[in-house]
Amino acid sequence: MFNRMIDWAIAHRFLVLIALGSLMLAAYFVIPKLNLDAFPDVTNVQVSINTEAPGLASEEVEKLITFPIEAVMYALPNVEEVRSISKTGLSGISVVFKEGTDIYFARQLVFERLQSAKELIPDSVGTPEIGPNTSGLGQVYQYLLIADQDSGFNSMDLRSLNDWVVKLLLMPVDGITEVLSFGGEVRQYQVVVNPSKLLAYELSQQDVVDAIEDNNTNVGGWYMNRGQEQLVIRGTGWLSANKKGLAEIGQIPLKSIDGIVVKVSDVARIEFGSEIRQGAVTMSQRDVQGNIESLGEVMSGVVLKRMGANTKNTIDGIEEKRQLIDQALPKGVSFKPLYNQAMLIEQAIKTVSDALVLAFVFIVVILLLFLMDLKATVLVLISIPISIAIALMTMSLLGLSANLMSLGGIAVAIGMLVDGSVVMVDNIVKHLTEQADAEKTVTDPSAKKADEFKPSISLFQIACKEVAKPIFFAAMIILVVFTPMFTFEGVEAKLFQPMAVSIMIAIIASVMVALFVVPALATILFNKNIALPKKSIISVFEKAYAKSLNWSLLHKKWVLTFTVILVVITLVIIPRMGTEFVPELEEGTINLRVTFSPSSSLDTVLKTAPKIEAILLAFPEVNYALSRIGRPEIGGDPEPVNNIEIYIGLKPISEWESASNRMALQQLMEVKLEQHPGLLFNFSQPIANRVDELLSGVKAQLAIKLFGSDLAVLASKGQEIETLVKSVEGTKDVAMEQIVGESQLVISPKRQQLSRYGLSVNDVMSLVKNGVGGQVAGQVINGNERFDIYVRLDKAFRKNQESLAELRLQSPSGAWVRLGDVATINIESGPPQIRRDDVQRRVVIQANVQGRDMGSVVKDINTQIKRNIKLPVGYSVAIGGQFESQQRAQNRLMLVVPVSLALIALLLYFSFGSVGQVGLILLNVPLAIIGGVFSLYFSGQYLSVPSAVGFITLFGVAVLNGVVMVESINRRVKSGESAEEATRFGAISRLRPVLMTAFTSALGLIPMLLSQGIGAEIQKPLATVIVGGLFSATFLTLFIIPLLYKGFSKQMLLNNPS
Amino acid sequence: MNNKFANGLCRVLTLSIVLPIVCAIVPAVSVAQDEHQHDHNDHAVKKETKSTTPKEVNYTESTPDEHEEAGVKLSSEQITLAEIKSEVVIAKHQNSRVYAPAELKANGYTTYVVSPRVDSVVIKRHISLGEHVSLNQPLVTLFSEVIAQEQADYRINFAEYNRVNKLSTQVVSEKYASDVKTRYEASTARLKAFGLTDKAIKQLSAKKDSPLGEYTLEAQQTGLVLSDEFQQGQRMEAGQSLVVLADESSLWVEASLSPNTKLLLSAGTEAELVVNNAIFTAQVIQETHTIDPKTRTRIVRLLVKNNNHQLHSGMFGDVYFNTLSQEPILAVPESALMRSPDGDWVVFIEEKPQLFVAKEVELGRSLGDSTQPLREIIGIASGQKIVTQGAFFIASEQAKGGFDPHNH
Repeated sequence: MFNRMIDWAIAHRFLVLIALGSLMLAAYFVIPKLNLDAFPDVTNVQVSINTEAPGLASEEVEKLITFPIEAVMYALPNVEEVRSISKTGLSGISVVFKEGTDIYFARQLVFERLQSAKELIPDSVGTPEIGPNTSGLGQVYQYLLIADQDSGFNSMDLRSLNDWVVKLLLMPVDGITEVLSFGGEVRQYQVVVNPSKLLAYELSQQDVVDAIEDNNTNVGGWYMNRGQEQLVIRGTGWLSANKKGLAEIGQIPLKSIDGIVVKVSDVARIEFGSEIRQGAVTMSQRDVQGNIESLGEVMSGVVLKRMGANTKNTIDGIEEKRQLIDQALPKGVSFKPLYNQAMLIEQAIKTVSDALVLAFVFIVVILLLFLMDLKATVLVLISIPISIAIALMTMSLLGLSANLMSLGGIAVAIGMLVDGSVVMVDNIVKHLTEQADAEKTVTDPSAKKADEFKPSISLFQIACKEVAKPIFFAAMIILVVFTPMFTFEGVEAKLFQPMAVSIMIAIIASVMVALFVVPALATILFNKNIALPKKSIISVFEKAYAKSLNWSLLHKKWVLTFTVILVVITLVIIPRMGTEFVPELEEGTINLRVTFSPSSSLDTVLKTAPKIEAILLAFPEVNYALSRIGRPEIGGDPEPVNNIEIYIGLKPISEWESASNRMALQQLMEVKLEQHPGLLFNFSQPIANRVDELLSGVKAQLAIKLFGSDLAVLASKGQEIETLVKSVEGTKDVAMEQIVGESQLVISPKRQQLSRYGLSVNDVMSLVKNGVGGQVAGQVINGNERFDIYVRLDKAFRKNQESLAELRLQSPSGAWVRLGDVATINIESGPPQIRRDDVQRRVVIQANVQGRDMGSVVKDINTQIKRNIKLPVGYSVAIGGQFESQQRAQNRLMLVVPVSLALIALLLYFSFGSVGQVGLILLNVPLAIIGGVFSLYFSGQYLSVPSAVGFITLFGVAVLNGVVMVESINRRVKSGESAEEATRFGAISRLRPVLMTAFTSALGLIPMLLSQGIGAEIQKPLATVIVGGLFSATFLTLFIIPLLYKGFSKQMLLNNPS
Repeated sequence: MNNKFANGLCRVLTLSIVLPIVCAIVPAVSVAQDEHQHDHNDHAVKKETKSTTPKEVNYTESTPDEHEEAGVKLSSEQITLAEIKSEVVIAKHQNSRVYAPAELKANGYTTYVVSPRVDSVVIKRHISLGEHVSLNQPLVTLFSEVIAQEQADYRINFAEYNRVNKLSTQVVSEKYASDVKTRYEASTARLKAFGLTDKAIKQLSAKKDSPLGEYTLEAQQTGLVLSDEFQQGQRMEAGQSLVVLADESSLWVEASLSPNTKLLLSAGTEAELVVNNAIFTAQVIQETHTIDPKTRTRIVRLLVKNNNHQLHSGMFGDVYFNTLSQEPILAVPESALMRSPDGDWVVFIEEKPQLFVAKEVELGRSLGDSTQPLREIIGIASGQKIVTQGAFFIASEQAKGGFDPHNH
């Protein structure tokens, strides 16, 4: 088959070139349509369900809302996990589906179930809604609306502008699923009721609400004929907007006493006010002079990208809308972008593209040095751009995104892309050289210009056919090596499968180039005036290698002993090496989480946030600090008000003065931040933070989960575990989630006293819910804008425990009953939130890992817990977070790696037909491991999924050296040479391709190894392993295989006596 | 090259490569395992102790350290940043407030109800609602047939009386003269009883053509016309209220206290009246000793001066009774009180500069006013320096630092 392919390619070489040209032209048009992303989206398939329950505490939310919804969701097919959080005023449930489930199918399933869940929730408690269709990487764009100081726009106006102008302009952009408003104040038409006046007029708050609702309606009356026309009948009774609306509300009648109408304004104050807030945003920045400027509260918008949408296109769409938005905003208000994932994409792409360019340069240099012929070098090099172009085009057609991992795969494989062409060109050049030498000798020994001759087509055919099968098999080995990676699950699958796909496509393309394009082009390029290759650097290497090979063959024991010692040392090092899941990615932005005591008020946090921003801005590296306090609208992260997430915008690292890297800067910041007492600080990065939480429900690397039913027990045992974890070396930012400490004012009715007055518990509850909490009494509609009319008791009557006790209830008989006489009002502690995983309540102790590997830290934690913590019956501990992913990945790798090796062995057997020779070639594997492990260990890196992928890649690449070597020796044996001669000369003859493939593969990875760009951290262990492994494998292969050939190839030697 | 030399060289090379590798690995591994940086400035540093038992967390107890007492020690920067303030709190007589909803009413003791004393018809009104009238200002002119008869009788009696007075005792008997005098005086008295003034009565006799039956009711005090429930031409029964005059220079405030409120209010006790965010001072004048059957509340009546006429009868307000404690009380702002993890209330005392120690207290009454609410605390001595602002952050710091294993 291969022979026919070569013959065809050479015979139709011009057709091959035309086809190549067409393919490149197609690539030129298709590649720009490639999806660009910074990182692969590693978040799982999940659907969130959010229910707002204004005023309800976490325990009520859990019982009334969360549990009923959870109960119906478990029965859905393909559900892997159901997580929930119940906090004051909000229930949030995440239904996690198995990998591979279509997100729209999942959302459809949840939507259908939600209808039955709604019936289980009491009326007026809350209505569950499906969250936006986005992922952990979905917050692609963040902006601010800034008003000039003298513009007259306040935070309410800015919020209205964002809700009703900017959002509506952005939502149609393709790729956007939601735009969340964060900060500002939502305007309400507030009816602030004086309870004393209600009492005096014998009215209730419900009377006020009913009256407002009755006076705010539009209706239709169908048609009325007028002559030959028809008139549409409309009754327009909506309240007007703005100040006129306030006046109209005040005029609404409540009752009539002796002919005198009592109006709303007689019992209440009507004014504009802000909706009860659960979040706010403040910001401080450096102005153009470099001075610190505190902007105070700002209005921000967060754009959520639809899952699966193209990030770059989505952001481009937003940028295109900016002009329209600027036009739509009033004078004095400006739209200011703050965070943009496109920058991250550009940096990630740049990291890879820089590495690719540098690798290309290195490869050019190596090829020139070894081949010493420009045409031969070009012939080899064309495989790189052609393979890459075909790979990118295929990715674009398949809808795969170009991101750090998929492009990184191409960068990793760049050296391997030339391997096939190197072997092909090398063999062609070798035959040409031999032919030229032969013709020179035969035709005219004294010819001075015997360097030139015309090679025949058959020469090319022979040369190409000789190596076609090994090239194909070598590529197959690489492809086979990557195939088991498709059995990865979870995060590692999403990270490394794109890389595997891009590498495999590129390798397939490079094989096609090597088998079709190179032979065709070679016949054209080397058709005329080919000069004999001059002596190249390889001849120096060949001489040195020949000498050392001779010595090795004479001192087998020393060489073998040395190799065995190295293997033993490697085996000793491996268990001592640290393990981690994936190295932390550098996003270029620091995310600081500040946690206050759970009973903090929004005002306390708002007052403190600017102080923290000022501390951060004292560092010259910091450009801005944006504090997101609490949560935005429903659909965003449901954080409590005692939590701030500060986005710290940094200057480029080259301009830093205080520290040289992020970790050092964070440590300096932490020391300064400790100046403020009573706060917990946790440094992270925006995407990593979000991804960690989506995967495990925790914004940290480790999640030690304690399951149980009683909150008090969970709290106390959780604290014990927290203390324990803090004492373990390598843990950092250890914190137990706050499940106690929320201050609650609990109003409990005294039933006996109530019944004496003829009052019910509902009377008290209604006062608490509607009077103290407030209730909506319709909306004021103004064009697109909608504002709630909110009725609530005046703050003066509900500002503390005592004033609540003084509130009066009216009994059916007209008695005025003091609330404090019929209910107890006490301050208690309650849980600020209750989390559940798959039915069970749980508390999480989160921790980050620093200075040690995750595996050993987790091991120590498990040991300490088993030894020191006594758990009651029904309580259990599990460790999740990244560790869970790491364990899963490790278990899978323990299967994948042997399978890869087995598949390689199978291929080798098909090729060589000898178990012994397969074993001989597979000796490259431990030889490669030596270098891989040493390089990891001495560079201070850990065993991780990227390094494991590096080892898998390494096995494939390293085995090729052995294949080339053994193939060459076998050929000589078959031609009648003795084992010793075949070994010696076969090995030496293959030195050049072995060194070239090793150097090109290794040097192609050097840029990735040395890169400091965004995302380089994930590729670094991979590159380290391959570079180190290639070095040891190549070096040792050149000596070990010739040494052991005779012992492993008895059958071959028996069949081919010399 | 000599083989033996080459062999030896190779052996040396092998050893020189392998040995350093082994020597590098073993200590590196040992260092990695034993690494422990003990840096007090770095909160991320941990020490692994093999016999670690989790320390019992007891918020109220503190394990004395050889270097510092239990409590929270803060630097001056921390104190400034968290705006922590402490002050010496001394027990003193404190004000406490009790709230009651109230309604303003006309001062019953200075309110005058103008009504006809006989069935009459309203002829003309001279005043309108809300008008301020002065003493003796005409209010309403009415007509009554009874008055007409009495006026006629008066004229007759007056004329006869005048005639008899001019006659000597020899012409008129003493008995007759006495009868005439009595009839005259009786007529005068009846007219006065019907509300006519002396002037009006004199005019009857002076102007012989003045219409009979008409009479004008006049204001018996200065005041405001609070109501004028009549119309011209309307027949009013005797005693029916025509005009209510009120002196609004002072108003009654009827506060409805909950019957369970234990409050001893003596006459003269001052209270705060809040009407439409304006604050007035009122004094208790009376207290009912029965419960209102409808509202089931105890009515306390207060008097409020209304010299600027801001207040009017019928307005609703809020009354706050201020009582001074009989004994000195230790009280702190609400912001000074924090809850410990076991649910008790604590205050932080600055025992030494920058060292704050939590002390458990019991809560007493709510004191102070809306501008500075205070809370009585029991359980600590007077005169201590208590944190009155920023206690929240001290409590947070303590909760945060309660699990620090570096307790040696």
